Amino acid sequence: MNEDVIEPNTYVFIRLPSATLRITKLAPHSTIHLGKFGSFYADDIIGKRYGYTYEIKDDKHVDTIYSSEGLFPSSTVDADEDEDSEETEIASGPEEKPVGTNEKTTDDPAVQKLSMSEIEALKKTASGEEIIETVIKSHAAFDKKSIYSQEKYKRRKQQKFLRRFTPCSVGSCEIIEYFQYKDHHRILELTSESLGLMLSLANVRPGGKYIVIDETGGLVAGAMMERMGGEGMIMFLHENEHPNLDVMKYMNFPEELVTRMIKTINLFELFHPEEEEEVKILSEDTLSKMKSSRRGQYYRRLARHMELQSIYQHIRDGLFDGLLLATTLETKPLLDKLIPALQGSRQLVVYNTAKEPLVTTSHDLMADLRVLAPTILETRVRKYQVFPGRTHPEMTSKSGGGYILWGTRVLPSKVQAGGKKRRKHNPPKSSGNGDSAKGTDVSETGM
Amino acid sequence: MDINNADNTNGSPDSSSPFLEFKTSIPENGLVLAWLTRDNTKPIRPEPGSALHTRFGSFQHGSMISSKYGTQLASSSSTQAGFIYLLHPTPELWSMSLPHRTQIVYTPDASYIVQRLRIRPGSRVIEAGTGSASFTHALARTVAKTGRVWTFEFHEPRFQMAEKEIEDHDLDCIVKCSHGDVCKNGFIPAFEEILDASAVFLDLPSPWMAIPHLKKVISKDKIVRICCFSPCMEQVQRTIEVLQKEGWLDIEMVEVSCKRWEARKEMIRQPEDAIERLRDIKRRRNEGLRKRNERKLAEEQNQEALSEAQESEEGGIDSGSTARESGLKRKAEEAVSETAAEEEATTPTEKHIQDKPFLPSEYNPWGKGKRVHEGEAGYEWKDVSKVEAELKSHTSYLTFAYLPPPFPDKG
Repeated sequence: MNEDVIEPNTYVFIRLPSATLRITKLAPHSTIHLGKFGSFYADDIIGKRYGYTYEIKDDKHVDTIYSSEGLFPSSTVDADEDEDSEETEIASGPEEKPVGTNEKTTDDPAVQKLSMSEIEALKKTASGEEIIETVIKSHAAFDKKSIYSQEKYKRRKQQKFLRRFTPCSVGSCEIIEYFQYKDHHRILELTSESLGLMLSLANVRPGGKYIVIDETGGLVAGAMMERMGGEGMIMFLHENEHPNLDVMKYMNFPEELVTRMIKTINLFELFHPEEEEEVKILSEDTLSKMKSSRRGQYYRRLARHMELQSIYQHIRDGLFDGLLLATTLETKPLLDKLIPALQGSRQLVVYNTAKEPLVTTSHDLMADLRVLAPTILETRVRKYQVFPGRTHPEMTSKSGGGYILWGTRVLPSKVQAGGKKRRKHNPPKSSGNGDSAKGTDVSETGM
Repeated sequence: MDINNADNTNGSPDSSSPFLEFKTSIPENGLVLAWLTRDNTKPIRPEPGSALHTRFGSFQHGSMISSKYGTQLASSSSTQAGFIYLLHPTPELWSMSLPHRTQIVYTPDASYIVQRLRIRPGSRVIEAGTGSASFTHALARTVAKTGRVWTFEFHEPRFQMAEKEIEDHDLDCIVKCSHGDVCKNGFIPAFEEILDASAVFLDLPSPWMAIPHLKKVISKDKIVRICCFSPCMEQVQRTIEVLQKEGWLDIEMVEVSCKRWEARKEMIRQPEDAIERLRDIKRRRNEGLRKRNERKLAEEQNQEALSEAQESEEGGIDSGSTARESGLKRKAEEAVSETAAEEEATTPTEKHIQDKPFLPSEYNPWGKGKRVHEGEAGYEWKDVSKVEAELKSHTSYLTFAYLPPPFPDKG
C-alpha cells in the first residue's frame, strides 16, 4: 500500500479528463486500455511518484506533463466539473476583454465546419490539444460566444479529445468516488464525509481492537486499517461462510497485514461457540507420517481454532475498544450480544442508508442503560463552483451518505438518579441527569 | 512510514496520553471527562481528598481513582441523588467539553478534513492557527506516535494556553506548538526541525498570505494536500487565486452540513378515536340535557305545589320577594343538577365503549388535559425523529487542493 510511488502489480485509480474513473491493476509489461482515451504501457508509469499527469502518445508511450497543468491545460477548474453545468469557468477576469454575449447564439449544427470523418482522421495524426485547436478554429460562431461559453466549449472538447490521465493511489476516498459513479449500492451508499465521521467518532487509531460488521466489501475495515498503521485488531463479523473483502482488495494491503489485523468470525461462530469443534492435537510422530497436504490442512485448522479461541476470549473478557456496524441486518440482537464485549467508555457507531432503523435502534439504546446519549447524525458535503463573479453551489450533488448512530458504552451502577421520575419526555438516558431541562439537552454540544 | 526521519527532540514518544492509547481504569491524576449532561462535560484530574461539586451532587475524587472508565458514579451527598459518568477522553468528547476560547472546528468538518487530507498514522501535518487546539487533538490521535503535527498560533496567550494543554495531555511528543505569524514570517517551528509535511490545514483570516511560504516546509517527494478553512466566500476566492498561481491542482471547494436527529415518540391518534370521542361528548351532552329538563319539570311541579301551599298558608303577603328568592334557589338547584347529570352520564356503566374498559370517567383516548410522558404505557406510540432545535448550518467553506511532487529533471 505504497501511497507515494506506483508499484507493479498494484491497483491504481485513474482520473481522466471526462468524469470517468477507473481502477486498474498495473501488471508489468502490460498495456492499459482507457477506451477512447487510448492505451498505454504500464511500465511507463511503474516506479514513478504519484501526483503526475501523463499524456498518451500515438506509440502508446506516455509523456509526463511537466507543468502545473494537471489534467487540463490552463487549468482553472477542478477535474470533476459537471459537464451539464450551465455556467462556465474562466482563467482570468472576464471584464478584461470585450467579448460576445449569448444574445446571438443559435443551435445550428452547421457552425462546425469539420465533418465527423475529418475529426476521426485528425485523431490519428494530431495530439489532443491540436485537435481541440482545429475544432475551435473550424467553429464559425466561436467568436460570437461569451468568454464563459467559449471556456465551456473548450472544456467539453478537452474532456473529449485530451488523452491525459492522472494515476492516484487507491485509498478509501478513491474507492468511494469510484463506486459513487459505478455502483454506489455496493458500498451501502457510503460517502467520504460519512466514513470520515464514523472513523473519528469511533476513535479508530493504532493499537485499538474493534468489532466490525461491514457489508461494504471491506471498505469500512480497509478505511480503519488506513487509520491503524498496522497496529491493533479488527474482529470482522459477517453473515456468510466466507467474509467478503472484494472492495478492500483494491486498497493494496499486503496479505500478511490483512491476515494479521483482520480476524474473521461469522454469526454462527459468534452465537454458538459451544458448537466449535475441538481440534485434536496430533503428536510429532503422527504428523511426520502424514501426507504433506494433510499436514498443511491440520496446521491451518489448528491455527484457525486458536484464532477463534482468542476471539472468544476477547469477547468474554469485554476487551474491545470500539464497535462499527455497516449492515442491513437487524441491529438489536447484534448489539445485545456485542455491547458486553466493549470496555467502558468506548464508542459505538452504527451506519445505515435509512434513518428509520437507526431511530428504532436509538430508542432501544435509550432504554438500555449500557449506552450513553445515542445520537443520530447526518452529514452531507456540498460542492461549489468558485470563479470570480460566478460562485454558486453545484446544481447536482451525489446522493447517499446515510445516517450514523453514535453512542458511548458505559458501565451503569445499580443507583439511579432521584430526579429521573420528574422528566417529561426523553428518557433520562438520552440526556443524563433527570432534572436537566429538556430545552438545554440539545443545544451547543459541539456537533 | 516516516519514523526514521522524525526528529525526536523531546525524547521518545510518551505513551501515557489517553488521546493516543486506550486505558481501562482511571489512574490517579489521570484525565477524566465527567459527563453531567449532553452539553455539560467537565474535564477533571482526580486527586485523593478532592471532590467535584455539581448541581447533581458531590462526587469524591477518591471514588473515581481506579474505577473503570465509563463508570456511572452516584453522588455522595444524601440530599442530591444525581450521577455522572466518568468518560475516557477522545478528541471528539474533548471538543465538546472545551471552554471555547475561539470558534472551533466541529467534528463533522474535522473528520471530513482528516479523511480528505489522507491523514494516517505517521503523517506529518502543518496546522495554522492552533486556536483552541481542538482540531490539534484530532490530528494528534490520527497521526499517532509515529507522526507529527506542527501547529502555529500568532495570538500569544492562545499559543501559551494550547502549548500547556498539549503538554498536560502528554501530546507534546507529537504536537509541536509554535508562536508566530505564518502569513508574515512563514512556517518557522519553535525548534529546528525538518517539517517535510504532506498535509496542511490553514484556519487563518488570510490563508492566501501563508500559502506561498509553504513550499519551504512541505515534502519534496510526495503529494502534498491542503485544506483552507474560511467562513467567507471572498476569502475562498482569494485563496483559490493564490493556490492556482502556486501550482496547486484539483482545487475544489465544499461545505459540510451536519444535522443531528433526535429519536422521539409520537402518539398515534386515530381519527376513529376522535370520532368516538365526539360521539361520547354528544351523548353526554344529550344525556345532561335530558336530565336537566326532567329536573326542571319536576322542580316546576314542586314549585307549583309549594306556592300553592304557601299561598294557602300565608295569604299572599310579600309575594314579590318570595318569587325572587325562589328564582335564586332555582338557579342554584339547576347548577347542582347539571353537575350531577354530568357525573351520572360519565359513570363507566353508562358508557358504551367496550374495547377500552379501563378508561376513566370519560372517553379520553389520548390523555387530554393530563400530563402524558412521551412513550408512556397505555397509549400507542410510533418512533419518529426530529432534527435538533439549533442547527449549525454554516461553519466554514473548505477549499481542498494538492501539489504534485516537484518535477524531476527531464529525460
